[in-house]
Amino acid sequence: MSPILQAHKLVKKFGGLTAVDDVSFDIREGEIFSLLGPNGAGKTTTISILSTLLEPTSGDALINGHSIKNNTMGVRKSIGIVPQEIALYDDLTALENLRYWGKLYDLNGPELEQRVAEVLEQIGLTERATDRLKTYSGGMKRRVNIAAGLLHKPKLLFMDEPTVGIDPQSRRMILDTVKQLNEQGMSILYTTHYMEEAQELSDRVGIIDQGKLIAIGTQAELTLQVGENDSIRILTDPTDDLTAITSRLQGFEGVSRVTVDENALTLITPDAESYLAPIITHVSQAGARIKSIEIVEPNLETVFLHLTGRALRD
Amino acid sequence: MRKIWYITQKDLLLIVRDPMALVFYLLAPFLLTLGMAAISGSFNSSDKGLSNIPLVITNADQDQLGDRLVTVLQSEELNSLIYPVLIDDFEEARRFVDQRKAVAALLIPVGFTHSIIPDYRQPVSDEVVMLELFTDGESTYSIGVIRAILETFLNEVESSRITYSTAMIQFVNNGLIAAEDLPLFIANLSSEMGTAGDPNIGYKIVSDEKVVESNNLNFLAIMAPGMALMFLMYNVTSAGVSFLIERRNYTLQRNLVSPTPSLQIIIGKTFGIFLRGFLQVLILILASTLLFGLNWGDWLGVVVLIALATYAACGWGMFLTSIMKTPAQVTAAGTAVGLIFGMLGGGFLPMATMPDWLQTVARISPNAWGSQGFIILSSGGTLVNLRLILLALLAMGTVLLAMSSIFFRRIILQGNH
Repeated sequence: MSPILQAHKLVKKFGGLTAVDDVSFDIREGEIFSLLGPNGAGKTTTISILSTLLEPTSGDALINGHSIKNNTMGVRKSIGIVPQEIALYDDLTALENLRYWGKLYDLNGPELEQRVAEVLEQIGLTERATDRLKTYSGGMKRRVNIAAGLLHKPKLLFMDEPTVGIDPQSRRMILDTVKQLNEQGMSILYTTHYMEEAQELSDRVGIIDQGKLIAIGTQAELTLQVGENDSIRILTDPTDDLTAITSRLQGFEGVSRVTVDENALTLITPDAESYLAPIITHVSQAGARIKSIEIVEPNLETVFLHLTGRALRD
Repeated sequence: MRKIWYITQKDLLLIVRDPMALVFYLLAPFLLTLGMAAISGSFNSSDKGLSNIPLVITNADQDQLGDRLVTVLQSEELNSLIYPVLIDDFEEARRFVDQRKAVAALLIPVGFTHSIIPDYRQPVSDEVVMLELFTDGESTYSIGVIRAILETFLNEVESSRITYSTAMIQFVNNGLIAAEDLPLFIANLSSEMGTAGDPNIGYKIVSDEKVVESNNLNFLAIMAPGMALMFLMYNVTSAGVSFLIERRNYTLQRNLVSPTPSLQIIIGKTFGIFLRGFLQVLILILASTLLFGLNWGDWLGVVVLIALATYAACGWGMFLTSIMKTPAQVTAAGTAVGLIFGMLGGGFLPMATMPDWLQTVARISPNAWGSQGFIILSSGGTLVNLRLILLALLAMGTVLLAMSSIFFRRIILQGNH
């Protein structure tokens, strides 16, 4: 498959801060590519550069053959964007919002009306189309937010954390919509800090942290980087002092890495089955009151932990 | 270009959808008119307003321009506004003012015409010959009206003189007029051109020190243009805040990543603000005409003047928005600029009552140009007499909007703010 997007050494600096640092990747036609990283990793800035909203400090990208630096109109016609924020007019109805955005993408007349009807059907809001957006729930607004990016049938759709702050039902619907769109042949760049979403949707994943793309590949390729290691997640009493416990676990036999996330300890071990009992004993002796224990197979979360030493959370 | 209209249409629809904003935009001009009328006493039908301002004229010039000025002051257009009386002796004219029989006495001195149109048979004189206006020092608004009429007359004369002089020099330079035919005349013209900026055309005011009660005035007639423009400026500058609100709500960014040039987005949004401002002032003018019988003058001139004053005000509004970071900053700056420009542009006191230097400073505001335009129109002028004012407003709006556009694009694309 030929790439619909080729990003080459993208850099974006804001004063002394480098928000995007030498990022290169490509997205093949018909692929869902996820950028996975914690908040502030540079995902939104990367999308802003690729969508021509921000000029890169250096580097370039080709989208559908158009340079983001030299042919912004060509790029904009090729892409659809679903921003992280609900970028819609609350005082307009869903129908009026979609008509407006459609017109900005050069849709008019019967073609516009047909596309508006189709996307409303797709997001299941045909019945509420003439209601003002301010009467919608957060999840419904998110769906209209997605619909506005689909009207002109873009070749490549950018979705920037489209499930942030919504109910599980709307989230499920959004994830199903993403799969549907991909099945229809649309290429998708999806950013998230939810490991589960990236795992469920992506053909390939790029892990981004502190502006740098630190790993890229299929899930299988990425988890191979962790090796055969398992991770043990121990949930403790919220009053426990995990900092002291963590320092006691450093260098303990069978523990290659320890991280703390609120009242949970995550330990990377080469063999969970063999080392579980001594680890639990040691943690208990260190003063922790264990509430639950979970053994996790290698996944994107452990990959991130392995690569950065930090959990993939806020 | 259609996208510009889509953006404007959307902004207007958003205003309609916000009932409070709609009430403010449409009702506020009515309320302002009523407020001005209440202050000025225009509800009292026995009040004839600002009319029949008694003016005594002494025409010692008795030549082309002196006679022309007298004709203007006695013209039908100014018939209801000024009550001019011709008296040969200026000392007697001054006594009329002292005795409260007139608010001002105007002396058109000997040689006034020749100080502006040189007589080639006479040697060139460096003497400055100015109109002299002796006032009671208290009838501020009436004097303001007289000053405005004199300024309009002198501006027209000066404009014609420069045009004429330039044309003559061109004729001579191009060989269309033989230099030997008019040697002295050409010499005079050259001398005139060399001192084009000298104040050898104008008038001076001499005020009496004693206190005289002001005559019966209708503030509405003199204040309405200034108030209308102040209202316009305030609202248009504040309306620029919608840019930053769209930015905060990320709809501006969504507009910017659509295949719509950023300039079209800026124009579309500005045009929405322009239409709102234009409509508001038009409502105010219609209301004051229908309810209180104010005569704004030639309607074509009024409409074009409002349009260009709104355009210039939009320029200021967009410029402020482009250099501010938050909606609160724009609102605060808009209020301040609206009030300052309002004061400078005759929103509180007629411009003619201000010191000359302040009148010069006031030219940075659309209000000052607009007020002058409204005075010209209400004094019987037409679109033709507004050429300079319309050009100034057009230039002001264009320069400010161009700067705003550059700032907006830079800010948005660099991701600053």
